[in-house]
Amino acid sequence: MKKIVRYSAFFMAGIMAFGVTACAPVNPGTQNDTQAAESSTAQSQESMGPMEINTEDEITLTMSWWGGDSRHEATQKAIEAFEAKYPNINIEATFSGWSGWEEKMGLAFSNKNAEDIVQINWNWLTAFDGDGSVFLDLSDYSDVLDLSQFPDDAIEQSKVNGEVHAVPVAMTARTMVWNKNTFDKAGIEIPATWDELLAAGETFQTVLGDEYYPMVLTEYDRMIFMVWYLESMYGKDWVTDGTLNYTEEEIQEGFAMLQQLEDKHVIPTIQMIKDYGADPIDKSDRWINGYWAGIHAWDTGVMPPKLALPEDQQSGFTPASMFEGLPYKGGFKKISMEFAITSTCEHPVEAAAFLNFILNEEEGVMAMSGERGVPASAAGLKIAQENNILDPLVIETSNLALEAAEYVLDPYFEDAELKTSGEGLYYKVMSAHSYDQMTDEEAAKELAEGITEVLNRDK
Amino acid sequence: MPLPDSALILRKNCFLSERMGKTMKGFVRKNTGLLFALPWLLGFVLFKAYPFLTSFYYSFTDYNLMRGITETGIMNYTEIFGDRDMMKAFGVTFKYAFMTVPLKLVFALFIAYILNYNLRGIRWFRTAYYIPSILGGSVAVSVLWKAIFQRNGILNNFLLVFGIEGPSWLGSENWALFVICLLRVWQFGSAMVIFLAALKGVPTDLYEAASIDGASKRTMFFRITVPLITPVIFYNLVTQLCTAFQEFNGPFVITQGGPNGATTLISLLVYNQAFKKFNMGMASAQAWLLFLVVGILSGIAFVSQKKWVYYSDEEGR
Repeated sequence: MKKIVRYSAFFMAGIMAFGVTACAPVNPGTQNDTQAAESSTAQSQESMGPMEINTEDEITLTMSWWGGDSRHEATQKAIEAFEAKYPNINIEATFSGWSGWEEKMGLAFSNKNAEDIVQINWNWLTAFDGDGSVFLDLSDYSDVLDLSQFPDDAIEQSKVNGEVHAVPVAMTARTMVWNKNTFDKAGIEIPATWDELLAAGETFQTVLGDEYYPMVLTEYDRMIFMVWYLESMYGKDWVTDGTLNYTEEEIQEGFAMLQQLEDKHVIPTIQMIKDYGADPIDKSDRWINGYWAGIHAWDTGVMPPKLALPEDQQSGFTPASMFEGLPYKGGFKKISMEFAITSTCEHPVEAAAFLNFILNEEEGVMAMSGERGVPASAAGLKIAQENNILDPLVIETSNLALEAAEYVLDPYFEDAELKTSGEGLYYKVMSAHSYDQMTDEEAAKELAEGITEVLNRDK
Repeated sequence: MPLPDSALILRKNCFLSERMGKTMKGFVRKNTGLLFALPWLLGFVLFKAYPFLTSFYYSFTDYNLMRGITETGIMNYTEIFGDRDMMKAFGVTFKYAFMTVPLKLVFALFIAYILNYNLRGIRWFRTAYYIPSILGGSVAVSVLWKAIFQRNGILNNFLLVFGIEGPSWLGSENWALFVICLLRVWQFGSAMVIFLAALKGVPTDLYEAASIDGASKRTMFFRITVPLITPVIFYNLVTQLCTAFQEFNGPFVITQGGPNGATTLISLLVYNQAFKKFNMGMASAQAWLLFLVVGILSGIAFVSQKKWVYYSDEEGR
């Protein structure tokens, strides 16, 4: 018996030792060798002249993205179509919802074990690829990935240290979307001007009751809405050349505007939004049952709030331009998302070919079926329009939003220090202001100082 | 007749392997305990001790996952003490722990006391009361909690039946913390099981003697039961205190730290710093400060036990 006990202990220890060896990280020498090999591969590809897609050797690529079920399905179809076109290439997919995705990818980029092809948020170029070491320069692969199809300004915004580190999938901007059914109940038209918006609050309260509001803005919505308002009041960009373009006094006007919206019963307080557990808005009964009738939404995100409404109410879901009656045209656009190839990818030519397939070629664009918004690629847009693969609502909202957007967003606007849910500066200031724990003046000061600190951080 | 070379080599090999076998056997015999403990030890060193010690080093750096280390020093600690949000989070965490721990202990002891009686269907009740503990802080629990506590939720509708207008549970800064506390108190199962085991260990002859002397149930509980289970109360107090200070799931899934930072406990702050802002240096410093606080409070509890914990095997102390 004693022998059995002893040998089983020895056996277990052996298994553990083996396990630890197997789990041990690759030694730095090996990793460097791999990186050196990769860089020499890239260099040799550069010197080889026109690139050719390898159609003979077995190649495995990895790809990751976030999104909902319909996006997963569409992307998998596109992968299948690409694999059918190039039978020697196999693409392994990793996908999930947004929740926790940024954290996961941040760690992966830092550990250099992210997938070969990655769907990224535009600001990830600043957040994760600041030194330009995480993603490859896609202009090196322009033989297989036609970058000329994409708007110049979008390509310009995708550059890190002068290199094109990502390819834009779609541009996006915000505009108003309304539940017209509630406005019909209140007996008024959807507000087209600033004054009509202010008046709508009172009408809602009088006609429909205290629980009804013409629109709703969460903390981050308030920030974007305030920037739109200030740009419309002053006719200047929020940030220019890495410097906040607004004084504390000017920002104070923005907070006064938000206070006015609360006071005039146009938007519910943050306390009320929390009270109803109404974040995200489209999942709450306040939106679904028409108590809160308008949101300031990205054009790429209008389908979920529409589909959340009861079926007989969905026809009343109406996108509209931002309000008239302010001195200037405000609002900004940004790249909604991009694709990039990580610097650890061993087959960048084939990865670039895949990106070209899904963004510029008919079979790929059709398979992707507009799941990532209106294509930024001219070829992709033409294919999407000719084949009617985009929802008319998405096209209408996109046209309204992008045409009106006067400015381009500064990448630091979405910095984690500012935007992080609950913990970021925008959330803290907007929340404290709505809870009457900060005056307009204090909120403006806190916001201006916090933003300036972030803008100066990497200078 | 001399042996051929091959036979000599064979004999030498046999001798060597026999010696090696003996050495191995000796090693195994001497280190059996260590070998059995090795899997746990390796896990401890790799996944606990190593991160624990490296986090101490990182706490003195500005280590950001994307930007690396550019500065070393005590700047994280000085920043923490000057940071309004951090101080608020510490305040909220203390409030949370001092609300949750006593409530949970009292509740768990109360239920354990009831379940100690031989009631009909007692096993079913014991299982039922334990179930919330295994649910943890999941999405399902968050949905349930929101359904109960939102403005037009189950609880406020129930209160309306009696003409009471319920408060703003999730929107008010005071009530939101209470809602989070309630979630943890509701998950009293593990403390209850330990109390139940302790109650079973109280000798029945003490109760019999007390009842002959005319002691009431209340007197018996406070004069016999409570003193005899003080070691278990102490154990539950320390473990629950540590758990409460490290609470993460409740505020993460239900309020995300809101409203207005009212449920932002330190662990949530640490998580946000580490995995949303990737500021590992600051997150490590915050975690170490939390460790220090938990250590001090546990130390106080250990020192105080001399005054109130009864250990029968140490002549009452």
